[in-house]
Amino acid sequence: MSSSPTKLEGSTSILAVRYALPELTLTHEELESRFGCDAMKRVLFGTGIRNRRVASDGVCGSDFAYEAASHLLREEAIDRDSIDLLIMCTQTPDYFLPTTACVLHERLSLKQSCACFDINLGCSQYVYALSVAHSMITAGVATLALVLTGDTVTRTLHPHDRAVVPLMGDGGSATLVGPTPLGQGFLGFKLGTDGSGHRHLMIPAGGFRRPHSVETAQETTDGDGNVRSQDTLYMNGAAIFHFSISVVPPTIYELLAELGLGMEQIDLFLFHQANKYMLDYLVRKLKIPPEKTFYFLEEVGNTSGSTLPIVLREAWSAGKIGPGKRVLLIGFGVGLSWAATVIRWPDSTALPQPAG
Amino acid sequence: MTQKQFSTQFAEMLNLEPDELTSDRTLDSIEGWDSVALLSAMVLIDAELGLTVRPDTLSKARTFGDIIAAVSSKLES
Repeated sequence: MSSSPTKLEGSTSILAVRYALPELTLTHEELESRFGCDAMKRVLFGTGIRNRRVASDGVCGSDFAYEAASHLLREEAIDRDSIDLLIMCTQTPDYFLPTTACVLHERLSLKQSCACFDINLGCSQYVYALSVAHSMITAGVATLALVLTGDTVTRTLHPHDRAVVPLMGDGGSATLVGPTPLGQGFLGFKLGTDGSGHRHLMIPAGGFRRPHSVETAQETTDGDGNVRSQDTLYMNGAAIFHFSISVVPPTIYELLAELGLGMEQIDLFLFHQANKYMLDYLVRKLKIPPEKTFYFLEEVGNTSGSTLPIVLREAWSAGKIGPGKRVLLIGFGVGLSWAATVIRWPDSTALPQPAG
Repeated sequence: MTQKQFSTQFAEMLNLEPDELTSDRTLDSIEGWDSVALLSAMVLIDAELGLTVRPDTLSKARTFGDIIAAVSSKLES
């Protein structure tokens, strides 16, 4: 008897999304006392982020993923035995080993025939994970997937690094990916990498290339007065900005050309919610009308790989997404890595009923 | 866009009068020339001149004249 997977006669789509954030907020006012009012005024102008959520001690990104997944399974009445693929997206895992997805497997009481693994790509991880779930389901290797995200990036920052502290926030999400008729759901993906930019957004020490040491913990102060060490997150904001405005437009144009779609045929453009100033410029550069955009970062910050599922859920709840609408998602950043997809929102997000 | 138009817009971005932004004006002497201004400059140059200038081109500039030189190929003579 052949054991090769049976290819799915159809596509896959996002069927449900939930997210979870910490309660604790690091406010604009608190950062004014830390960095000065004038400096924070500039930061707010340059980023559009006013407040950001911060996880309490002992709380991990996986806890937000777990909370979001639990709500999703309960509220959508999903039988957890029907989940046979779990992808956990994080760059702040519970442990270096084992995989956080396996820890979540226990917490979510998933069956043993469920495949579980992590994807660690930061800003682009959500769309990469969707491409993997879509590929595995359409190839017949899985049937119903949970794509989770969860990070506590604020833990990796030096408290006096003004280049990153005002931007970053913590949180997580859960997305159900399952079958949908051909022509609906994911229409295509465009994935990319520029490894030559990997130094622009990194935590230099703590891995095996450069383990933590007294030396790596030494604080340095840069020309702007920002303090960091090799143990904390370094971001070259200008280089990331340059990368984003260089890569995002061609990626969108190429993906749409491959799908035979024009910009005007996309109903909603959702970008990784990194920085409103940059997104406003991208929207202007791409000539996207304002009603086809949606933002959600001012009060929650840049939650790394969770920004896309969070803004997607908010846009969906706000009525910007529904059956037949074409939504473009694009994540870009650390790696440097990027991923875009167009989803033709399905006519129905209900799960197909098993044959009687 | 002429050099004069570019200089006027650049000055406006930095809250300066056009005649305060001469080619020999050092960027260090401009109070508003910070990391946010550098991004705004990248946007201005990209939007008006169609040039996605590298950030180190701007951060290595000492005077406004250095920036003009970096974008001169896109300015009308």
